[in-house]
Parts: sequence; C-alpha cells; structure tokens
Amino acid sequence: MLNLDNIKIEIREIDISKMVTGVTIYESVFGMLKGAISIKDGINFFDNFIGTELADVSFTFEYLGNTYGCGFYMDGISNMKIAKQQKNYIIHLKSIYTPVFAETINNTFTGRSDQIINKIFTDISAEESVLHIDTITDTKGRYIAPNIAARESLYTLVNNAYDIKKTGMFLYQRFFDNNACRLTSLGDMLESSFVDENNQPVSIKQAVINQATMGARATLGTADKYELKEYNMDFIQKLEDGVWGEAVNTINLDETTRKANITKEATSIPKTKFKLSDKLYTNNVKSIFSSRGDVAVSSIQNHKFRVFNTIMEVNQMVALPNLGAGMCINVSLGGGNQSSSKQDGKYLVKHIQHNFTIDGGDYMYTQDLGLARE
Amino acid sequence: MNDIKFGLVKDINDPEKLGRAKVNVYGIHDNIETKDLAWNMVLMPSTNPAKGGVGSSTNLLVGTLVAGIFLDNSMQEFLVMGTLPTKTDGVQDNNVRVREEADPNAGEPKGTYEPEVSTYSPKYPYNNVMETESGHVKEYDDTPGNERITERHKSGTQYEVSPNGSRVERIVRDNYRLVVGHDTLEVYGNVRIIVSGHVDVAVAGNLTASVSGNISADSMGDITLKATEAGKKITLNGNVDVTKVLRTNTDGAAINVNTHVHTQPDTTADATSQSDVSVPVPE
Repeated sequence: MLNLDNIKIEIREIDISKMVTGVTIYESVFGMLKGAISIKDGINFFDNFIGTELADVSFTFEYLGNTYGCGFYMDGISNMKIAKQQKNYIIHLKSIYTPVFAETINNTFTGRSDQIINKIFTDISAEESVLHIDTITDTKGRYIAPNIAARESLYTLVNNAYDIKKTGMFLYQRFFDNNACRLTSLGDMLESSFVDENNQPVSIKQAVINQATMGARATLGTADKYELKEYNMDFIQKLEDGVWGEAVNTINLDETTRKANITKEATSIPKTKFKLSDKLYTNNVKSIFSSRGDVAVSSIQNHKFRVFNTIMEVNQMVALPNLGAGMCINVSLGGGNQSSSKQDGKYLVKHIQHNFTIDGGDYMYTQDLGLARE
Repeated sequence: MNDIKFGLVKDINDPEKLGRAKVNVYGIHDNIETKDLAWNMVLMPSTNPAKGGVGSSTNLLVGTLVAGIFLDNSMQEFLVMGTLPTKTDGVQDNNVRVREEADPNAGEPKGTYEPEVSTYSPKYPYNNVMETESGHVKEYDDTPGNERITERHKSGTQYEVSPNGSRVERIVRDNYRLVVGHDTLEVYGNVRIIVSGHVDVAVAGNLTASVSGNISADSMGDITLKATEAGKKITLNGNVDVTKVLRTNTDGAAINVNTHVHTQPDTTADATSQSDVSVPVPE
C-alpha cells in the first residue's frame, strides 16, 4: 500500500485533521460527490463549532508527490457515540454544488441541451465553478424550467439528451477534477480509456506484484478482492422493458462487440410513451423533449442502463491517482487462469469509493471501483 | 407531478387554430413570459364530438381560470381540463343571469304592443346561461314556475319564450326571411300587424283572401284597384253601394251594365256628385 504524504481536512477553516480516523469519498457517473468523515472528537469540537448552518469542508492530500483537493459542504452528523472523554461520530459530506443545485429555476431556455445545462449551471453556480462539456448534444429545442430545483431541471435535461452518436448523457463530478462538474456522453465515456503518464492504457491487476523488487508504484491499480456483483440480473424484466432494443451494436465495449446472439436477445419497445407535441411552441420551435417517446430515443435511454448489465466490484485497490468515474479501464485478472480471464476486458468505471484510513498513524488510500459493461 | 394544477389563460390565438391556449400555470410559470409559453390542448366534454368539424369551439378567454394536468413528468405540456368561474379581481365570473341578478337588458326600449310583464325572473341555480365575449346570450331558465328560453344577439335582437309558451321576438333592425319551399302560418286567435311605414305585397301567382266575416279597408288616401294587363278586368260579384262619385276613365273603360244594377241616387248625397254620374243607364 502507498501511504499519503499529507492530509488536511478543515471545517470552516478549522483544521480537524488530528480528529479524523477515516474519510470516504464517493463519486459516480450518476451524480455529484458525497462522502463521510469519521471523527474522534476529544476537544468538544461538535459542541463548540458545529451549528445548523452550512459549513464548508476543505479536503486536501498529497499522493505520489502531487497535491489534490476537493471542497464539500457538511451535511449533518450521525452515529455519535458519547463517552466521558470524547465523542465518536460521522460527518457527512455533500458536493459543493448541493446547495446551488437546490435553487429554484423558473426560466425559458432555447438551444442545445448542453448549452441549456451550461446556462443553468453558470446562472446558479459561483463564478469560479467549472462545467466541462465533454460532449456536444444532438438534442435541442425549448425548455421551460417549471419552477423546480436546478438539480431536477439539470437531470431532466441530462436524462433526455443524447449526442450525435445517439448515446445518452451523464452529469457528474470526479474527485480528481478539482471541484469541476462534467457533462459527457456514454459514447465518449466508452472511448475514453484511463492512461498512465506515458499515455498507455492502465490495467487493473491482481495484487501479485512483489513490491520489494518492482517498486511501490508497480502496485498501483492492484487489488485482491474482485466480485462479480451482477450479471444479467432481472433479465426477463429487462426484456420486457426493451432494454436491448435495437441499439446493441452501438456499444463499443469489447465484450459487447463479441456477442453473437444480439438479435436473439433484441426486443421491441413494448411500452407506450407519451410524446410531446411537435407544435408546442410558436414559430415551429420544438420542445427539447420532443423526441422523447420515439422508439429510437427510448433505445438510447435504455442504452445507458444496458451498459450496467454486468457489474464488477474491485475492492481495496491501490489507488490510481486521476482515475475517475466515466473512464474506461482494462481489467486483467487471469493471465493463464482461464476462469478469471472471462472477466477480463474493458470496463466503464461506474463509481469509485475513495477510502482514506488510518493504519498505524499513517493514512492509507485505497479505491473501491464499480465497473460496468454490458 | 401529475396532480391537478391551476392557471390563467394568457393567449387564445392558436396559430394552428386547434382551440389551444397558452396557460400560465400557478407556481410553474411564474417567471415565464407569455410569448414563451406552450400551446396547450383543451379537453372537451363528450357531448362535443370534436371530429371533422362537428362540435363546439373551446371558448376560452384571456384571463380565464383553468384547471388541468401536465401530460409529462418534465411539465412541458399542459392539458386544460376545465374552467373555474370564481371572482377574478373582484369581478364575478358567473353570469349575472345565473346569479339571479336584475335583468341587465331590462332598460331597453320595447315595442308599443309588446307585453308589459317581463318573464325574466331566474332563481339560482336554475338558469343555464351561455354568454359569449361580445354579449350574445342563450338562456335556458329552469326556474320553477318561470321556465323560459331566451336567445339574444348583442344588438338587442332577441326572442323569448315565456313560461306559458308565449313567444316574444324583438328585432332591432331589419328582418328578412327566405322560404325556398312553402310557408304556412296557422293562427287560432287574432292577428295584428302594425306597420309604421309602407307595405308591399308582391305575388307572382294569385292572391286569394277567404274571409268568413267582413273585409274592411280604411284609407286616408286613394284606393286603387288596377287590372294592368290588356283584356283583364275587375269583377265585383255582389251588390255595390257607391256613396260618393262613381266615375269611368276617359280611355274607354266601362262598367259592364249587364251585371250592374243602378239604383236611385242617394238623396242624401250632394248634388254635385250625383250630377257627375256618367254611367250609361239601360233603357
């Protein structure tokens, strides 16, 4: 394992690093960062400094010579165990975008989905906030934000948008993105492999590397615990929902393209969906959701879920810096082991749980990965 | 999400002429300009076929309070399901005739021979009223004892059927009626026709008046009976009393003496008139 060189956690600019026994940060392609800090409070920090108002939390650490950081808001406390000398409790963290995403949006927007998402994001966020538009959307039209939270508006737009390759979109936050948000299509995610400093694709491997002979860096991306959490679960339900539809061939994951029985599994879209009027607005302006309900668009929406048909969990992996949700990474378990190699191949990183734990006074950093492919 | 919501109609000039309306839904479109709002369909009752031109118009007004639901979870398309007559900005939305208020047209001038007693006396909630934006009104008043039907143009032209079945029609300007086929008027009682101007009756065929009683025609001017076509005549089939001068024209017209019985002059007639008789007397 690689230790962290330094770690600093501040709540309202008060350094609480010495009280921290562990930190967990969770990132996912489905949303914003969240996390939890385990606290051993011997100075009554809770009574003196934690109030009901929003408190900003700063989290920085050094890893392999680089400094990383991310901001959060404190989102309450739970599991407090009270003793005479100290209190043990968990501070929950929410993304810095949680408060602004709760702002109500009641405005009219016209343009591409990515432009509207960017406009809403810019309108509500702090000046220094950044949204990386990785993918230009193909969906465009008018959207009336119906006096709902920006979070709902944004995810309604995201979940109905698709790119020119007819793949769905995700709005999410990566731990290593320095507080930025990201809008990426599934198609671009599947083409975005995680590479090392030499621009070579990185593979996750079994932890059989001898650290003493190969060096600590060679252990990056190695893990002992792999679990195939799901494979083709709820198959009948997925068939009924038309999850496979007609768009299987558009998925670029290697495993998918090797499938030979696509047409056998393909289904029609049995659900009848309401379609918005094409003449909803004056001057032939269409709703940005006007294509929703079309069979092809339903297939695009289902495409996003199809990719999560096979879920592989990798636990306690030696943390790979800069690895983020929405990237693709190779899994190379087997070598000569035939039973393991079946699970080898390219996976989409669905989520990452970053674990910072104390081990003999040093901070250890591991990652639990949720990998997905069809 | 799909619960009933309320809103105000902001625009009814649907470019597609589908009867749609722009609705500013309370709590949803608070900051949305009317020009940006969507055109929303209006749900009609099943009594309206809404098919192939058959049915009635949606009949909303700008400012109408409506209720409806959003058809999609993202709340982009609203369906108007009905209207709510309440009190908008202090003004009652329900028609004055429904609310049994005084007849808003009571002060209008009536005809000289129009019945004096008004049959307008609605009680809430019996009067069923439909009034349009300009002021055309249809009333089907089910008020017990005062059942009445009124249909009225904004100008004041109207007809009213009173509780006993009598009908009063008032036309404030000209009237014209075309009957392409035959027309029959059957009256058990009397008929009165009061004309302030002239009366012209043009008959292409025959004009026949069968009268069981007397015929009386009083004129303050001349009375002219003329057989204008050559060879046509005026026949008086019965006794003729001439109490004044009976005179032929100078163009040769004559009274047929074969059917004419000349009696002695009325001794009470003035001498000038009597001496002016120029009828040839049979020998």
